[in-house]
Amino acid sequence: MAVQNQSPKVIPTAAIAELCRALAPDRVLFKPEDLVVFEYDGTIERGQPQVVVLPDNTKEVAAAVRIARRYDLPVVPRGAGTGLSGGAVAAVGGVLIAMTRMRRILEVDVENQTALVEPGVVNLDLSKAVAKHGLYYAPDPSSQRACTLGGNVAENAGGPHCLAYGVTTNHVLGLEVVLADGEVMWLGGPVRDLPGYDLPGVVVGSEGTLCIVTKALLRLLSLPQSTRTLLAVFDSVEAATNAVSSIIGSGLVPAALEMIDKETIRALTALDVGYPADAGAVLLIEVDGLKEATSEDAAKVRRVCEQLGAGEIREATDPADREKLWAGRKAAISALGRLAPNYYVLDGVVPRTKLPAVMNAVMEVGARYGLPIANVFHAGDGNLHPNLLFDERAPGATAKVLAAGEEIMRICVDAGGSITGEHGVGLEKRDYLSWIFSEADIHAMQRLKAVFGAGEHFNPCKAFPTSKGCGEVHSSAIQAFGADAYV
Amino acid sequence: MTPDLRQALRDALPSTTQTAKAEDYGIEGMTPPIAVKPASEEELIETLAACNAAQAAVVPWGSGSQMHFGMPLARYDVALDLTSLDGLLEYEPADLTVSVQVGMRLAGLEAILGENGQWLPLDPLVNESATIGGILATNASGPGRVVYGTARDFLIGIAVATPEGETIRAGGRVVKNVAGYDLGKLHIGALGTLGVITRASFKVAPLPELMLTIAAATPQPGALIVIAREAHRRGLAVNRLCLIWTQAASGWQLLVRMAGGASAVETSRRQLNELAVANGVSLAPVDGSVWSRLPAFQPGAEIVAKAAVMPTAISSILERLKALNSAIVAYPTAGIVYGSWQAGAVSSDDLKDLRRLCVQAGSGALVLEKAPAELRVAVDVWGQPRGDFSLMQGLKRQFDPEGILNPGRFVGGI
Repeated sequence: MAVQNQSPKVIPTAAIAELCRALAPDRVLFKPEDLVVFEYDGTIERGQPQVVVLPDNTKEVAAAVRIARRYDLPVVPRGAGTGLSGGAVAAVGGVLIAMTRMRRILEVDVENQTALVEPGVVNLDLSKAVAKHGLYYAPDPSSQRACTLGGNVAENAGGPHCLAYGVTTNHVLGLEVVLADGEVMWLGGPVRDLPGYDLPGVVVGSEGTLCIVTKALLRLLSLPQSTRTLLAVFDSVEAATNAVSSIIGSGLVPAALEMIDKETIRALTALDVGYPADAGAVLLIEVDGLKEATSEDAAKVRRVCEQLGAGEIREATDPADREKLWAGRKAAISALGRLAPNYYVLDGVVPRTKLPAVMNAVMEVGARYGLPIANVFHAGDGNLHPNLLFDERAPGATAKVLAAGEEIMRICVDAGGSITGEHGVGLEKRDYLSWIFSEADIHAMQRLKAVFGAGEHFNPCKAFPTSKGCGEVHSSAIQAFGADAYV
Repeated sequence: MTPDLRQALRDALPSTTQTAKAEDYGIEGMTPPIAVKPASEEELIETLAACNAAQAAVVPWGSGSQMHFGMPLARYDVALDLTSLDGLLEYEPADLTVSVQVGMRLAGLEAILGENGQWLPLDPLVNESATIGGILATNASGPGRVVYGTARDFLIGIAVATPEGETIRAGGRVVKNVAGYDLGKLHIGALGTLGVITRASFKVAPLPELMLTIAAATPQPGALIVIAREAHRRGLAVNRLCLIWTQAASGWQLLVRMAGGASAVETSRRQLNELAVANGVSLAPVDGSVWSRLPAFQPGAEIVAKAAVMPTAISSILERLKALNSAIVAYPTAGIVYGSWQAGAVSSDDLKDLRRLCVQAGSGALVLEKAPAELRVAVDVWGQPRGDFSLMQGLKRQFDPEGILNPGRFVGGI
């Protein structure tokens, strides 16, 4: 479904010629057949850029930004396009900067535990590259085999292990960025506590609206000495949710604490990941650290789960076993395609203690709308992902899904939570922002945009309530996710 | 401020806020004509708006222990005491989050959290009366940062009063949240120059079951740095670590606090012992009160410089500081070193040289956190602004267009 309801500007041939000169003709795409693959991201919203450039370095990014500025064309940065809020969709056309070629790990400083990377580096590739030094990069979105670090920075990406280790922003030291006028600037640097305002702190999570990140200096952690992964089987989501609260309440913060419900387990049956088919819900729990500490913690987790009615508790005995337990979690969303032709992934956050009540309310919404819901989410963080299953060919199905999704978002907000924990506001949730922020709050955020001189040059129509020129996108903002979607 | 303007401002202020005595709010010989202590956030907002309209320079106060922090004030018309705004707004222990008004003392908050077996693992070595607002504004941190990080790693939501008389919020009360720009980050370490923080929400953590402090002493710091790095690399159950040097002790000391379950603490202790033996030093348990006696944070430290450098550059900074007869507190794996002196014991040239070393060898910075005014001016508390300074100036213009908040105190004259 195309989001642009006003015809995008026709791009002048002179602009294309300039881009070809600044980069190289084979790295500037403008034929319709070449542009098609850049229409989508993890959502099915479409928005076709008029031109796609594939820069090789910062200088070329800056040149492309300057040219776009001169011709008054918006610029949209793009990593792997795995985002789930439309962040990489060229909502009103313009120049799309694909970071595909900027995927070098420029420097690994083993002693200081940092890595300097280009934005197109795939998240997991960084951890793989530094593993030989006993290091890893902690934020691990479920899409980590595909998503890029630049995209992670834009969305402040999370992941299962953020429960213990924090999200992207806790791991970014410095950023090289290109501003709207083409100026290249370093924000932050190799050390913490630099004097001045924390500029990397506001660029992380800004959804590509303030500047374009061309290099990131990231913090690496030492690999834990020991990791123990447990799967606890419960009769119901409610029982599993109570166990989550008790584990956290027992003074233990596991490395990961993930929930997979019955419906999702059903979708995973064919993959043979070893989740019991008759379970009402399973919790995937990981503790890491010193060997002695993880034995203690694993024993504690077992005790709490048993007390709260876990029928069975399995533990991975070797790395392959552990991989297998995680494979189910990481493949969960794409497996949902087995249950229904379409599914709509929601991303809400609530205080942990509200999870049981919120989950009940979510399921009640599904029942009322006649929509099956599959849940797979970061229970330890209170970050839920209800997936509404439907068939868009059924008359009225789409409208029903949107209405149910909106109700669920309302439930999260009413419980004191947020409209997005890790997927971003993007196109999808722009108009929900005012549910949690006042006009003054949003105005303050717009002031930050003004400081960066970003206006609507970068990623227009994203992250903020619908503005003039963006049209009414919401009514067409139905999301159905492809086989390569992740949460 | 002319007397007329002063009177106009007095008339515009909310009536219950004028009880504070201005003479209690002097800063280095400057006494403000007006001091206000708002009884509510509404009064705070009204006060700020009135000051903004009168272009009166406002200095927010917490406990007042860090009023020397930063460059000397360019102007000082109104002291704004926030200590009445000290409420606990929301605390559900099982959520592991807490929301407070920032006039609350950190010690008070820790007492509340402690009753529930939790804490905010932010352990700046400041006095007992230090407030949450002051700690955020100065980005104060302590020896726990080597494991837990700093305020930016705990703050999940913020409310800020603006000079224009609005309250703006960012973030929220949940631990994961990417709705809207993360404006809270801008106010950490900003010395209140972009707005007056009124409320803050934090992630909190369970208190460790057991804590045990051990110490090792040597004439040279090399072995201790090796031990610290190795403890960090192995992920030992350590929750505070620092290196200290004083002339009185005439040697280096490594302090480590282990924390966690019994077997984690025991294993960590054993491994640390092995590391110590391998490096020719010995470790012994010491009383936990040692943490409240770190030299840079004692009343006798009249000059305090904080170096932030790459951890690999730490040795050269330690060596230079020792040559300058400084007392030293260092968090080696975080790249943070505090040098402290009595007044007059270090020259501005020495401090400038030290800064050059931090910038060149450590890719970092030196901030003169405490010193007599003339030394702060001679050295420049913050050092040369960096390449991103134009954006910082832009932030100041957007969020405090009249420049009434702590004028002149921050980086580059902001």
